[in-house]
Amino acid sequence: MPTPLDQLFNPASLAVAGASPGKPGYLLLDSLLNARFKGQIYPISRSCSDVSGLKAYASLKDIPGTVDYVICCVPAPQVPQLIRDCAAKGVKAMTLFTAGFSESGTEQGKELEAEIARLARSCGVRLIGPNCMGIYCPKAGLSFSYHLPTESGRVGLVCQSGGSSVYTVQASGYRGVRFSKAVSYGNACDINEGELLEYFARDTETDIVAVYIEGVKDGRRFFRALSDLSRKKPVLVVKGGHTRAGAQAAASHTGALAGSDRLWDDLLEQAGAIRAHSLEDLVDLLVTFSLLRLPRGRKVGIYGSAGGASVLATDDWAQAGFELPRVPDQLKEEASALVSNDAGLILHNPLDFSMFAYTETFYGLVRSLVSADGFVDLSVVHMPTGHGAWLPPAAFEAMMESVRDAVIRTHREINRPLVLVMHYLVTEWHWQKTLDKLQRRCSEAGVPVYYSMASAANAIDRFLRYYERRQATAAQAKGG
Amino acid sequence: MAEEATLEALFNPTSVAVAGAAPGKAGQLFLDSILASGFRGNVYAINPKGAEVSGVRAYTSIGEVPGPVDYLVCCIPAPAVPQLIKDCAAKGVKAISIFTAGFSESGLETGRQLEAEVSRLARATGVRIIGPNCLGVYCPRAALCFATDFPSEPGRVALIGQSGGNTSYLIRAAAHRGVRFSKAISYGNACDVNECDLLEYLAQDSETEVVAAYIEGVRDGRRFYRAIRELSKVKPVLVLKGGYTSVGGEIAASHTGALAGSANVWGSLLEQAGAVQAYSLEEMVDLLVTFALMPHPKGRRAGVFGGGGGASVLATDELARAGFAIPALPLKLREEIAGLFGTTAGMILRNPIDLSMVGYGQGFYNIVKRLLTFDDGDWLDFALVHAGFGQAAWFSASAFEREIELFRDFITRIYGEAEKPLALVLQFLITSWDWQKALDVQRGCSEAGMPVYHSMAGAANAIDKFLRYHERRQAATSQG
Repeated sequence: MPTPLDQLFNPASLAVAGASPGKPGYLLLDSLLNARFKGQIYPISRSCSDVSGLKAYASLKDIPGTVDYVICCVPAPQVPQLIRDCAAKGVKAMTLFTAGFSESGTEQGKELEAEIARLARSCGVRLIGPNCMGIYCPKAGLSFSYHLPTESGRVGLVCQSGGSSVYTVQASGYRGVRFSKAVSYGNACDINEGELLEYFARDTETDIVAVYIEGVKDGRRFFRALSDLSRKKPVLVVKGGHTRAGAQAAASHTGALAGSDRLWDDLLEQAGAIRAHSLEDLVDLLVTFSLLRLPRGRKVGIYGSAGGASVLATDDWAQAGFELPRVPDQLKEEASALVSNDAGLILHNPLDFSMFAYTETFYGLVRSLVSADGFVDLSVVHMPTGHGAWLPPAAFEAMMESVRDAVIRTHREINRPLVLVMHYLVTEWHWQKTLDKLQRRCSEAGVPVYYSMASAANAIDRFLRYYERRQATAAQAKGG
Repeated sequence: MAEEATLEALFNPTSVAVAGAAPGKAGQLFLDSILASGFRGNVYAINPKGAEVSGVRAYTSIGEVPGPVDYLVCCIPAPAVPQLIKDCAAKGVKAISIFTAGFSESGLETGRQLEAEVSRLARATGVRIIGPNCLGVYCPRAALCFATDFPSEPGRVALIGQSGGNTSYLIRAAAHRGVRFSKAISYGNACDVNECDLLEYLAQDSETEVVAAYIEGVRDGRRFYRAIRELSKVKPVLVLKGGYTSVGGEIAASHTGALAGSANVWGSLLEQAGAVQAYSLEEMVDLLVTFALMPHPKGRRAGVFGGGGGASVLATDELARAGFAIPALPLKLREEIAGLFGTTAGMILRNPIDLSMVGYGQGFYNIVKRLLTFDDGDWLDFALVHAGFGQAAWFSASAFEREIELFRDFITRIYGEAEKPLALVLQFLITSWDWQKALDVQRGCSEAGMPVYHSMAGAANAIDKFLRYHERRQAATSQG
């Protein structure tokens, strides 16, 4: 028997209410067409007979076939009637994009939200939202934005904010992460965070779960669901509104009761979830958990240029609890033999090849260091852009090509943990374009890419701690 | 004083020579940078074959150069450096910056001895030496430069950097966000002119109002403390200590031969001396933007205006965590703004104010303008306008392009008219296209003198440190 939420992700037909041109429903409809939704799509518009090349209907009941799923973009006061119409039509689930409910802070908005929650329960239609973007599920061709990947992956996202959903899927997508499904669930008047976490614990298409949450509807259920899910899959959580002022903002954003920061820290720790400190941090964690091969320990080798950048890189890794082992003599000799210039070559770890070293010899160097047995557990190729004093565009591009080549070939040929860290300096546009190409190619090849040493070190530290903790728990269970 | 006079010569040479300026060598790149910056005095190239380089006639030795030479950039191999210094002394050269590496930072006895000899020669001959293992001087007023892409206009910020790469990065990144420099010195191993000479000089320098330093280690701790303390009394001093972890310190030793000390010692020393500390290059750039561009806010009440509910919640968290107050929108103002739209669905009107439903046109301008001027602006001390590029779900490229142009025009107009400190946060940038558009907006804003940041956390942290600097100064003044 399918669980009630399964049908959310696999509707055979859907309707968009409020789809007239220029309205949000119209844009959501376009996103669905763009994502190539495979079933029937019915726009509902009072003013137009066709929308985006599809025949439009004046009301839900005018639609000839069955409708599984409705995306609601009509003004708030019209929502209760639409829910009744949906029940009559046999609609199973609705996403309410419409805002103007409890988050408005008005009595009227709160009452309206209570009313639709009651209606949903009494007539058996499941509601996502209100005040949300709904569902992204690439396999089914469901999407709420133009800019999201069309391929499926193994990450699930439960996200209370619409903009944060778009950002998280798009930004981590840009760095090679793919999603099984994402749910932007807004005010959570019916389907809430607890139920979604329970769903993802069972979902065989999902290996990792990311959560952006402002406040919970049912604390007990949430904690139980989070603990249970964390036992099965890594769960990465951003808590929005963790300060008092932030919690007030959250209340007017999604009507959430946000709780205190310390409480959340303890709660997440106890449940076994991993806390992310910002959306950018969440993306770094997603890149790590979905792409990085698990390092066996905390020994790091850093291969790259620029002495000063290496000093700072060392501080960042040391601060996050990693060690930088010395380069064994034999390896030193091999590396020296590959590099012809003498000035600026530091044969410590981090290895400083100076700016002239990112050439065709770079691949050989990186490969020999990554494959050396017993040297490190994790290899970091370091591209401290913006440090180079003189390179003209063509030479810069050639240098980036040799870095790309070294990283991708080594990643493919040697099954060991390898990441690229590049500083994304915002200056000349031609630099930006070249850097972007380096990043995208590496991300497409499945290499974890980060924009700073600190963010890489902090994300990988939590990745290792997660597995250390799991091993400890497993050992305890065995011993007990 | 003799000391200041010789350092002054560094920043005002009337003629410059580059030793080791042969085609394809590093010396040519220095020569090209000096030529590109439009240095007004004579520029001489020196290489052993006397081969013309970059269209400049070359001499085979410094002795052959017909006119006087004030400043020489040395790019010849390390063993030949002592003789060059002697020749320079005979020629009457006042200062040499030694790019050449292979001295104490190599960790080799020969390197250490060579550096000791260079340092002895400097003292004996009276020629001042910067380096070795450095990039030397950038001084836009004198059209002296070590890269081809630094701004040619001078500003009021001085930078001293022990690492050439990090110094270049800081100049580039800060320059693109509107910061301009009086002078920057990459000083490497500091065998003669050291960080203390430079800090003491900058305390007197009437062209400099803010000083930034990237330091790996110091030669004379007592003098350094005194220099920072004295300098802090007259100008803000921003310090990034590279190698603050013990491992990082070891790397610093092999980078610039510095003895780096421990994190605790450094942290408390800098704190006591009144310096403002940065912990990464990115943070240093945020601090430079703030100290160079932002007028001093009178207090900690922040207005947050911009797009996105989730972004508003997270922005509030970042600001609250950094110790800012987010005062509620005065009721009268709230009603007035709500009245403009008829509905407030999907907007947050409490501060933060979520304007995503309004777009970035005239309506946005009117509201932000009203927010800044209401009650003579008395409800706020400063405001941050934020735009989350990667959070927008639907904009097609062309629609976004128009929106972005509007945004740039309106935000620079508001900035020009605002009497409150106002900054811009362009955040959640994902694709190369986002970065390109952000760069366009940033360029317009930076040219107008508006501080621009790339994350709310970065802005909150930098502005907090800026305020704490001023709070501390006020406390010191009232005590004294």
